[in-house]
Amino acid sequence: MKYLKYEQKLSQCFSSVIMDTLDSVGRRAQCMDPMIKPLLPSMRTWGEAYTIRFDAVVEVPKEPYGLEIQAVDNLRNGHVLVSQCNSSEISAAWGGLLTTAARARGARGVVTDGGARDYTEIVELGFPTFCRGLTPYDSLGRMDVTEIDVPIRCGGVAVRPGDLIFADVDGTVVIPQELADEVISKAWEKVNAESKVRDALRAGASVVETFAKYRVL
Amino acid sequence: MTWKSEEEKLAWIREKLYTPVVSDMLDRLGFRKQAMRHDIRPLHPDFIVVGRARTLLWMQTFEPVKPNPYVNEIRAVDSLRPGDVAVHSTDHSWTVAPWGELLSTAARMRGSTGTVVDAVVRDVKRIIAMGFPTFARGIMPLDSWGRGFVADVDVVIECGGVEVHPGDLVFGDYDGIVVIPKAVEDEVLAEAFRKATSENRTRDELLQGRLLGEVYEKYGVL
Repeated sequence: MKYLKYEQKLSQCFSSVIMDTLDSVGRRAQCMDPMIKPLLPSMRTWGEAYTIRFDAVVEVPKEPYGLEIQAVDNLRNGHVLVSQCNSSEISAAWGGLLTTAARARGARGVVTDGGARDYTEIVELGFPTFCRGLTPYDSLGRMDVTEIDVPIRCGGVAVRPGDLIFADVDGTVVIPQELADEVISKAWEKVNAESKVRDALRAGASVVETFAKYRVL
Repeated sequence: MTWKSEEEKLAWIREKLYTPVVSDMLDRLGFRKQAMRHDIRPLHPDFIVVGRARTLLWMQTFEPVKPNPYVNEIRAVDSLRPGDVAVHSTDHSWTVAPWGELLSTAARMRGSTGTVVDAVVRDVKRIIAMGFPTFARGIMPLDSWGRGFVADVDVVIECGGVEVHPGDLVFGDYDGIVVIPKAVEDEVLAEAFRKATSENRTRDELLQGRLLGEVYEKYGVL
């Protein structure tokens, strides 16, 4: 997977710094709706987007879960599953058994603008899960996956297969793949600069002189 | 599936089931709107409530109802029996906290196993400390005095978008709250247990490395 080489740098980044970097290159709307939150504040994930789209249905389809199962079985090491839910009623786009299956394929996490269920099981497995809320409702007969591995819109942001997803408790950010190299390296530089600022402030320097020197806050 | 007593049945549900499998079996029987709105949340992640709905129908007021604005609320709480769950109707005004720590204490002494409130609650830290499973839409310090009045008890109400009849089985955990109508209760419970067993087998085979596609074909659950 194309972002595994950045593992070390990304592990030191935060969504806020990545968003600042996207701002600086004029991409100011790359963060998903803040209603999309991790199940635990400590959950964070990054990786290559594998996309699926749910659409609302009014009855149980002939072969329910068909494309959803295919998508989960297609996941590979370093993938983050991102799902768009075109359904006004919230139901679970993610759950415990899917977590077990996705983890066995090496996936790093899941982001959905729909719901999730089996909280306890997912948290016990420690699988980073970002969703709009919890619900016991199955997706069966409420929505069904109609396309996989296509451009989608999740939480208000366009996501193409292969884009870089970075999510932590502050938010879920989509880094367009053609900007990934640049954004990762700039964000990582900023993380380092922030560490220097923190050290200077701890040593007693004033905010004014520190900002004048490092230009970051 | 049979249980020796109501008490044993409620304990069995708590031990063996979780709300998603119950919701799935309600779905299968055509009861597709039995989970409450997702913004009604437990005050603590470990809270689980299982019991019989005792309903309170709330109305909005703009001054204390005379002579005693708490009269029906007190009557309802004092009439709770072991295994009962007070379920409060939707407060559309956002101004009433129908539940707090003293009512939790009173309810617990009657053997009640929890409460579901489609409104705000208060005294939250104390309720958490005493471990009384309380599910609510929000938190505010407002008393119901002069703002809300229990118009009736043990009548059909709406809570979290679900119609709740007195005596319905109410089951809530961190994933949400489901209401199981009396007519299908035993069938739903037995089928839910069967599905939970299939889910366990599915999980075991996924952990052995099998693909989701083949395991789903075998057990048909997700």
